[in-house]
Amino acid sequence: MEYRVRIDEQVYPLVATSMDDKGRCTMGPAGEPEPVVIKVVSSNHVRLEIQGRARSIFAARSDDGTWIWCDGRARVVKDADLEERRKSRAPGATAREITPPTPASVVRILVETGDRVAKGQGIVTVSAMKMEMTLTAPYSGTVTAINTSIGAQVSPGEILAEIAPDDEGDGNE
Amino acid sequence: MEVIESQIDTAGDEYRANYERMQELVEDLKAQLKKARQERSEKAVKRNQELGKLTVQERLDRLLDRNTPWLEIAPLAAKGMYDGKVHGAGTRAGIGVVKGREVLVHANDPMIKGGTVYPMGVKKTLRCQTISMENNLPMLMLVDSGGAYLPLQSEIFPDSDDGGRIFYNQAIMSKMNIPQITAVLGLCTAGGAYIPAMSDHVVHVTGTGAIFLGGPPLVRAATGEEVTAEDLGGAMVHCRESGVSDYFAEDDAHAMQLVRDITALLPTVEKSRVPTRAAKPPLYDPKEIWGVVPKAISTPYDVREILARIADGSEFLEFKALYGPTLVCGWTYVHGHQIGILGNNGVLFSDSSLKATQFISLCDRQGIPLVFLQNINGYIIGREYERGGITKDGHKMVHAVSTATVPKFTVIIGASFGAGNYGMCGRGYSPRFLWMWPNAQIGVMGGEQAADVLVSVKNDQLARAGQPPLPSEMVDNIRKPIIQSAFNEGNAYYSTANLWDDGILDPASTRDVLGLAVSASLNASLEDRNQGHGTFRM
Amino acid sequence: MFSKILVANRGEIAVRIMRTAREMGIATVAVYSDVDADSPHVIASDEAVFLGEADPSACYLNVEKIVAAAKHTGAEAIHPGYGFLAENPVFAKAVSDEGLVFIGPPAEVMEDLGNKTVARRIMAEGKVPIIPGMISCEADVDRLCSAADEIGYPVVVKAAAGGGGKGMRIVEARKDMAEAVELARSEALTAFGDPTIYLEKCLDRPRHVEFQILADTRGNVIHVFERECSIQRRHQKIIEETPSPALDEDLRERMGAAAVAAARAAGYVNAGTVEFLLDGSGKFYFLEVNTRLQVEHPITEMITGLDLVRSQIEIAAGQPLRFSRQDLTRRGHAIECRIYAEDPEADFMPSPGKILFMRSPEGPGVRFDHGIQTGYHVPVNYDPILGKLVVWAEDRPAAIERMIRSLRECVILGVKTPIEFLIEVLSSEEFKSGNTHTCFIRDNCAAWKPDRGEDALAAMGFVAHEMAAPSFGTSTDESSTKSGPSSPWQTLGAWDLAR
Repeated sequence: MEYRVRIDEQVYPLVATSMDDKGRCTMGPAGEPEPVVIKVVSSNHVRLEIQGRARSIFAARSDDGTWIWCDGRARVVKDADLEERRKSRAPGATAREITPPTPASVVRILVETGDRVAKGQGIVTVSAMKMEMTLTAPYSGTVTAINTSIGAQVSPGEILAEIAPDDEGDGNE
Repeated sequence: MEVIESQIDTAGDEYRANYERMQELVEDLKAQLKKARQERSEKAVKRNQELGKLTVQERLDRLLDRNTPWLEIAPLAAKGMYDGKVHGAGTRAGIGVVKGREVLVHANDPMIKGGTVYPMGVKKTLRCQTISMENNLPMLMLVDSGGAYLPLQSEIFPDSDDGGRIFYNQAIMSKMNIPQITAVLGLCTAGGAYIPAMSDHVVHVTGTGAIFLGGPPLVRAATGEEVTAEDLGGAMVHCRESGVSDYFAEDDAHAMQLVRDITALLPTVEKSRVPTRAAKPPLYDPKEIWGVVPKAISTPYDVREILARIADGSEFLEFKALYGPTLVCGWTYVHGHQIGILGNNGVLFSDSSLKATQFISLCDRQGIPLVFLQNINGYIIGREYERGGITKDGHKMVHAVSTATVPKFTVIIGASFGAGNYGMCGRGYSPRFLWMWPNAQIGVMGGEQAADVLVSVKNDQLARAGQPPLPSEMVDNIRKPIIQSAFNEGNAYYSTANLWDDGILDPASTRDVLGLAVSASLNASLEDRNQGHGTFRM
Repeated sequence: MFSKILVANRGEIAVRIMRTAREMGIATVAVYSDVDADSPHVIASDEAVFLGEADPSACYLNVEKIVAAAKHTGAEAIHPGYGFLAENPVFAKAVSDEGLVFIGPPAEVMEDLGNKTVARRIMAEGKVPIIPGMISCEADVDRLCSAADEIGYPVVVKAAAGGGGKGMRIVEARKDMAEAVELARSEALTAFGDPTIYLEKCLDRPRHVEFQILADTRGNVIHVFERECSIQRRHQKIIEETPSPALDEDLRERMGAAAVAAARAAGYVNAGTVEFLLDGSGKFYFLEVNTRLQVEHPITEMITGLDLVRSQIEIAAGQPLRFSRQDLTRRGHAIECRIYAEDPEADFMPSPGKILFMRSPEGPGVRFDHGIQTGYHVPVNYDPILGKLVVWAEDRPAAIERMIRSLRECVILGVKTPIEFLIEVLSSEEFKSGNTHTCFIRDNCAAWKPDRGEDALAAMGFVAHEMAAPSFGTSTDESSTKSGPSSPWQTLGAWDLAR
């Protein structure tokens, strides 16, 4: 089994084989695993023997990771592979274009052609079913065109404003 | 409870010879398992990497809780079939732990024939669904399949237990309230598209995962339209427009994370309670089973020696020890769970059949899971026994086994011949799981017996025609191929290739396997089981 | 002797006081706030009275409620521990006004010594050397500046009502005076409800050496040797030891005599501590008198065999001291390390949270006075002290080695602690050589960072624990894992047919 173990900013890639019935296995950085012996003392205490030198390791799990104690040093250790991912931002999870979600009328236009806009900044406010909704910039960039006017009836798919992204990296976010 | 005192001399020559022979069988088994997991064409490995996909093993590693057991199901299915390279019938399946929850995982291996489905693949999927239904285990499907293997479509498509049954089962499972989570990690074409569609939760990986009823080649052929797989059925299409998929995943690892998160939110299941106590290991090392089992399948040995190496503390309360001694029945604990266990110590007589009937009924009434250790050449035959009503008594045992609704588990530890297979809960009797040891053999009768029967039939025909019996060299010519084919088609590998069982076990792991399986079976309720049975012929 | 006392405190000190009371056959009453309902000090008591919400003013600082609790339970005396109301003369008076006994000095003595300028005046009159500086309070910055010119920079702005480093500012030059005064006044107002301040000379790298005093109601006053408490962070002690490596018998005799003189000058009764600063030339100056049991009192107990809490209770009950100065001997060397829930990487800021697991150090010469347990929540509302690890050994080098060993055995997981930092301080040549002073941490351990050299081992330890005790990927509260029968799915680990 491969592990990527994180302690603060540092990630330690480790490879470990399964324990046999005596707790023997190999463990260590990929390519240089060493024979070790793991003895379970309690659910919070294991004795780890590496190259004939044994140490007591104390461990307690928390929502932030596992607290590991060895020789007076306490570290919060995480399994980097299981760390919560950033909330996925699929392309399409947020709209890429400035278009209304339902047929609506334009009540306000908040920017002008040539304006620099930041991601999340309001561009056009539309009204439908007595509810107003502000369409926001999906990425930072420069407004290159406004394709609508106040009072216009607009429908989904109609691009109300166009924004040239600052750069591809940001645009893909 | 009494402790079984082993009579085995672990220093003896016989023990050593047995041990070495079983060791050889087990080493071969492990090599076969390893090969099935690892042997993939260079081309397939390269292709998988180019697509940015994880291997099946890597997917499982990310999906399952680390350092928890993985009870693989039918890892050697389809062994020796087709071109010999459709390992595990093209899928990996098993029971594992996700977020502390026991689940059934079924994963296509795109590195075997592009994940296409062979007839044995269908059989394995259906078997997994049965396990999921019988044991109330959530089913997690990692789909990455090019669809049916077209040259064999006639064996995959039309019959009652063919492809369509998979989706039928999915609907029934949904009705049974068994959660189904599918991760779309590659193609899900045609019928395959229904696997996600019929699931409760669909995770879809962008770029590689695609769901469509007709793939780009079929679309081109049918309408001339040129379209990419991603555009036809990619994650963007199904997460944003069609609503076929529910969760957008950036890559395989993300998909596995999402499946874990979804699993964590499933309603918890209170396991059925059977009598339990603290688990303890047997007094004798389970590995000593290697030296207990004789080399020849016809050599009898005391099944209690096996029990002593399976049961918690080697403890066993024997039921009717002095009555019907060719069948050993009694109670014990395995990994802390109480079970009723039946093991053969010879052929079944009327008394041993009656004893089995009573014991099975008792366990069924008390809600105690049953374990059958099969090593049986059949029921006793002969004039005296037919007159004594052996068929009538065998019937009682078969009836009791059939109607018992507690979880049943069968391990074929030696011979499984004739009606003995039935009475001792063969595959036809719906044990929750059935495994074989590598030395086991299965068939209507043993090869020697079958050859003898055929020779004697032939001699009867000759006698009726007024001719002398077969000369001995002719007898040999008839016997040899029959014995050989009985072995070829009756050995453990042939059985497991055909999915007559759920896998071949290292005998030393039997205890752990039973513990895992009994524990997993308790996910299903014991309460509403259909109590009772029909009428016994007395 | 009393039959029942109330302990108006919490945490390790409440537990420690109750232990002695139990030995003396005295019943104990604990008081607690709503966050402390399951705290070790409540569990250790014979009966417990709920005071109110977590805010200290509603519980451990609430004179009325505590006195009422004592009356209600029939306690005859109140032990205040340290901190909270321990040095509050209003409390001491309220206790005696109700006909109960306050286990500590009389309210008037407390009041005099609590005001530092008053205390300085008393000491000056009693011929006890005091730190050059003002003996009255002053608020005007100009006048403070001219006083500082007279004393000579650097000077310390101190709160008259101060203690524990609060309301204290060092001023290096005249231009910084105004700002320092303002900060010190506002801090003093918040901490003590009294903004008055005064100036003292700031000594260069002095040692903090204090003498334990015992005074009975019959006029017997003795000192019970010194404690050196130079290792401080945020003006608070963190490592204390006795004897001080800086004292020879002559200096000990002179300082002890000054301490006894100070106590007599103040009319002191019960246990108290006279604190001095000691400069490099062997000159010492009165700093203040702590009119309570000190946090670090156990090291004195370790080298003398006394139980200072027993002495406090006996004195409060009107009994004479059972020993004279000549009866007391000391043996060996004792060190205490204070273990707080604090982050040594972030200027020792408090780090409250839940103790996920703890294991106490044990073995010869080890004493761990603590008020925590596995599963205990360290509340944000109070001083985050978890416990005090105290060791005794034949001599200082052996005591240092024993302390390092004990710290390594002292497992506390779930909150940050200074244990790793303490091990490094104790292991340093500077500490071993006895070159300790109040700027030790600033000079030697500024911006301390943990040694990352062994982190790879911690990573392996993590993997070993994962393999040995699988986590099931859920957030696990080990104490609350479901009871049911053990399942091989949870016990078999990385089991696989193919293995």
